[in-house]
Amino acid sequence: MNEKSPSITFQNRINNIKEGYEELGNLTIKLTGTVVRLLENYDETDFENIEECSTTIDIKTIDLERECIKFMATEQPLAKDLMFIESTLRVISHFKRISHLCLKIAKLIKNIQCADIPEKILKELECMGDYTLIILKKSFFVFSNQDLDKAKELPIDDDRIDEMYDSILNEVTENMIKNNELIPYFVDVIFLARYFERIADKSVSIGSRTIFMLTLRRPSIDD
Amino acid sequence: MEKITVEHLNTYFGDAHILKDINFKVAENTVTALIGPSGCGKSTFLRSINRMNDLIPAFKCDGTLLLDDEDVYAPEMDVVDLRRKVGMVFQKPNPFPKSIFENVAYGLRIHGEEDEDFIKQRVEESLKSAAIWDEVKDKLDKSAMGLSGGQQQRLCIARTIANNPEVILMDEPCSALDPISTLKIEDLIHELKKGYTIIIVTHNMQQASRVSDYTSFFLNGEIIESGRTEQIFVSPKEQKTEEYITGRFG
Amino acid sequence: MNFNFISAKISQKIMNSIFLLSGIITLTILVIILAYILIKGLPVINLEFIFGQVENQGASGGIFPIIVSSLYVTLLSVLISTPLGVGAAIYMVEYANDGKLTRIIRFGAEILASIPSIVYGLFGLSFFVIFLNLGWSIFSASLVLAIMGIPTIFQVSEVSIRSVPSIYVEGSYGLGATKWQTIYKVVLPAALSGIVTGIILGMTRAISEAAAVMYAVGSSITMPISILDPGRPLPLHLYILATEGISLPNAFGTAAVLVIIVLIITFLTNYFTERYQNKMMGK
Repeated sequence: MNEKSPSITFQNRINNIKEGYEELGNLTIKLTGTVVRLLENYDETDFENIEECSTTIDIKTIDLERECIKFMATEQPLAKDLMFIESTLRVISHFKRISHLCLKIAKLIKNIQCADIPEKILKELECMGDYTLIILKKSFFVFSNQDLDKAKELPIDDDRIDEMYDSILNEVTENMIKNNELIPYFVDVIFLARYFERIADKSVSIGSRTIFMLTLRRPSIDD
Repeated sequence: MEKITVEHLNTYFGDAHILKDINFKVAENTVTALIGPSGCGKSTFLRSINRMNDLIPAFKCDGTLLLDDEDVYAPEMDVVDLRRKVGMVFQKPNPFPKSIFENVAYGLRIHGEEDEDFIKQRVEESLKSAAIWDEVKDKLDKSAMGLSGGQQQRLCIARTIANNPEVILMDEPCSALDPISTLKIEDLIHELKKGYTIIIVTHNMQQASRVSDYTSFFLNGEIIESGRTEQIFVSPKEQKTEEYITGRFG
Repeated sequence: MNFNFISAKISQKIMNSIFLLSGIITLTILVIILAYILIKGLPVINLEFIFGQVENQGASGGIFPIIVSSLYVTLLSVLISTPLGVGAAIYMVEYANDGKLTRIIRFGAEILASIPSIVYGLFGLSFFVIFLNLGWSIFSASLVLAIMGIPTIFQVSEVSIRSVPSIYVEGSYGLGATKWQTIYKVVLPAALSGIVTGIILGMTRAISEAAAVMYAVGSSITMPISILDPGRPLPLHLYILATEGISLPNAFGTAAVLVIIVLIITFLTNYFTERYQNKMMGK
């Protein structure tokens, strides 16, 4: 009875899922990083890489979902294993959404290249992108380390993003009034900021999912 | 409301201390599952409730075990009546080598029922409650040994129901059955819950989570954790319970 | 031991043939004996032989009173020995704890079974016939045969009762049955075929016994009516016909009748218990 080992296939399967999660998370972080770099310095090959990477994440998400379902069907996990698998399914679908948002951002960046967006707005956007990337990374580690304390910090970090979004919005509105013919590009900029904000929201969701997984209590923030 | 109340129950087989300070409550019309590794004492506990352990000469116990408000181990307790009120279904289907009808009528006959019409009616009701009537109504005079394992087990449940018990104890009732028969028995347990209090010992975690309202986890003769079944299977409080139900317990 | 010099396959074949051969030999012996007795005996048998009175000490006439004495003695002895043997078996399995007493009882039964039948006969003469003053009678002989039959019935019944699956017993107790109800309604019916086998063994031993009854039953060739009348069962008649040289053909006729009766008893009881068993087990 001292022996604490579930069957080998059980352990292997759950390890495979953990590895799959980490691979997807790293890909998403890398993709978001590339997008932020693209904002600073537009490059056509980077853009193509982003498209390709987003597709890869789509495929890998589906594969991992299938793996999770197989695991549930064959091993019928309970307690923390059950919570882990269920949460993994949720979290990887967040990753997939984030990769879609990244692709949209990249397309918007390509659009605004030909326009002369004020330097200040671009700088603020870059800043927002960097900060979003930090939150995403944090949420990734929160889930893989099951870190309850750090998970609780995420909504506070997100407030900072919301402030940045508001400030960009104000800035852009002012510029729109000044510069009528650039309005379509300013709209793109608004969406761009909006998408970063949504990536941050998704990261917060990953955190609150982690809290739910660990405590089984309803998260204080909407999922 | 409490059908069975157990306080500080200790049992022994000779010098071996099997159950240690068991405290346990069962509400009326609920299903309680007892889980735990082999040899943890859950079957011994089940058999303490209808005093089946009395058949083993070296059995001793102390503490209180109340059925409603009656002490099961009081000297004035009528064991025959107790076992009528607390029926039992065993691990292996064990119909007697008699006809299907006589199997179900057995309990009535040994308790002195002689009115054949009443017996007939009661047998039919019991077979219907055990969801086996349609399968056997045309061959009531055929031997019960010709039925399939799953049918035999439902017949044994019918045989128990015929006694009009208040509590039904089930000792791994599906361990010898195929998955379909198992599901039929589980459905039956859900139906029976309306009229009876059921305690079931099972090694099958999924079965425990499917059929029971409450679950108690036994380990080395002690109850480690008792609680609502969802809570035990989704977020157990005790480390040992978690290790056992997730299979990390050797 | 090392049989490496023969391959496993060949040694398997050799053993197969040896076992087959022993089976065939046993069967052959049985067939030869039966055939010999029947060939010698059957020509003598006709309705007159079976239903006629004994004449000339058996040299002519029939053997009807002899057959009746035989059945009389056998049935009476079985009636006496069955309750005792089965009762003792029930006690051993259901009531006695495994201990000194059960070992002594079992040992006693084995001794009882191995005492030569002529010793039983002598005991019957001195105890039943003389001491209890029952005289040479069917009853005295039945008592002797009953004592001889008890160990057989007891031993076979005990094994058979012990082999009733404990799950039946548990099921019965679990429904609130008392010990006696469980024994009477579940254990005995389930053990019935074994018990019947024991009774048949006892019966065939009783019906074929000459030595044990020769001092107790007398040697009357008239028809026994009451149990206190003397009689002459088939084996004893056979013994007298053969040893006193009265009529060897009639001796074979008697033997054939005896063998046929034993065969009929065995076949009939086997048939009925098997049918009962099959019905109960749902085949």
